[in-house]
Amino acid sequence: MDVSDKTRDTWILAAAMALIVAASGFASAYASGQAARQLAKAASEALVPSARGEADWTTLREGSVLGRVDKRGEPAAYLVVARYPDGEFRAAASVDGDGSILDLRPLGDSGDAYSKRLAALFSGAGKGAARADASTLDASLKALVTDTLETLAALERGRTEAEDDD
Amino acid sequence: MTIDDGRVPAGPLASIAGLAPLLVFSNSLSLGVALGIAFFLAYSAAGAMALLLPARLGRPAVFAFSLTGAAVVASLTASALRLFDPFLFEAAYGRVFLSVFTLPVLRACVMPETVSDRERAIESLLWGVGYAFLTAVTGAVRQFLATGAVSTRFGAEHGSLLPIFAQPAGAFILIALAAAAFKVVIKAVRGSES
Repeated sequence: MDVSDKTRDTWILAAAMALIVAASGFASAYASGQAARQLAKAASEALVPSARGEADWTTLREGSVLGRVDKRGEPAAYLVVARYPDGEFRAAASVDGDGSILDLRPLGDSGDAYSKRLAALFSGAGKGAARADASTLDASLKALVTDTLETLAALERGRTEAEDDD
Repeated sequence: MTIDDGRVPAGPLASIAGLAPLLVFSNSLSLGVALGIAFFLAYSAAGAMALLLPARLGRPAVFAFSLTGAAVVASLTASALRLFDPFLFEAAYGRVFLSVFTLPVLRACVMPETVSDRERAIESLLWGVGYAFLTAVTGAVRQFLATGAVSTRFGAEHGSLLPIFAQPAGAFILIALAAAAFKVVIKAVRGSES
């Protein structure tokens, strides 16, 4: 075996691999764009069913907050995916400048007791909302709800401060 | 650690142990299917590259290229999953890449040494199908034990039966039960033969 043949083959394979890695990067970027459009549409349509116009999606992945939908002239909306042992609760929440929930709409089927209770607790935490009645599930969900509300408030404060700086 | 006690073959048990990282995260049918497909594609890519790359590159280079190929395939699988269901992707993407570092995939990256090893490629592929199927079935069984139902839609799992099976501990309990059942069956078969 010629050593130069081995070196040449290694370089050819390395170049081919680099091309494949680059192609995989492009595929990943395309999938990311398509998923962003899908998530932004799901969140904005849940809050305003007849919503039209372009919505910008920002992936955040902070605790239970998956991302934010920014739409011109409307309060920012966040997509919340709160995971609990038996499943996950998905909702779109529009928030005001200090991060308080103005409106919260569950996404998709929310058939189990945990999802219903989470919807009630998040809605009850909103501005001007009536306080939800207590439930035996509250103890196990309290930490999740508190963490999510704190994350929403911190993210929205950060966003408005960044906007003010601009 | 020696699993083989002379009566029960070590291979299948070691493979299940090597798949444990995937089995731990496979707690629903949809997640199990996603991880099973990702595993199978990464395993097949690694095995095919280790088999087809020229032997003159040397074992370390073949291993490195095969592992890189498996990682690229895992990335493409994650992209396809993201297009198919963004919510499922968010729950699974870290785990999809974990499949590259499971024992069967790492073993598949090693260049076959002998001609008989090369001729067992189809057998290796069938093992890959079996491992992927096991990952999906583990997800379905854990979902059923945890919620009392099996759902094909990710995030639509409702109800509580034995919630511990949705937790990582549930996977280890299931692996232990499966290993014990496997050992009993093998012993029974060997006992009936003698």
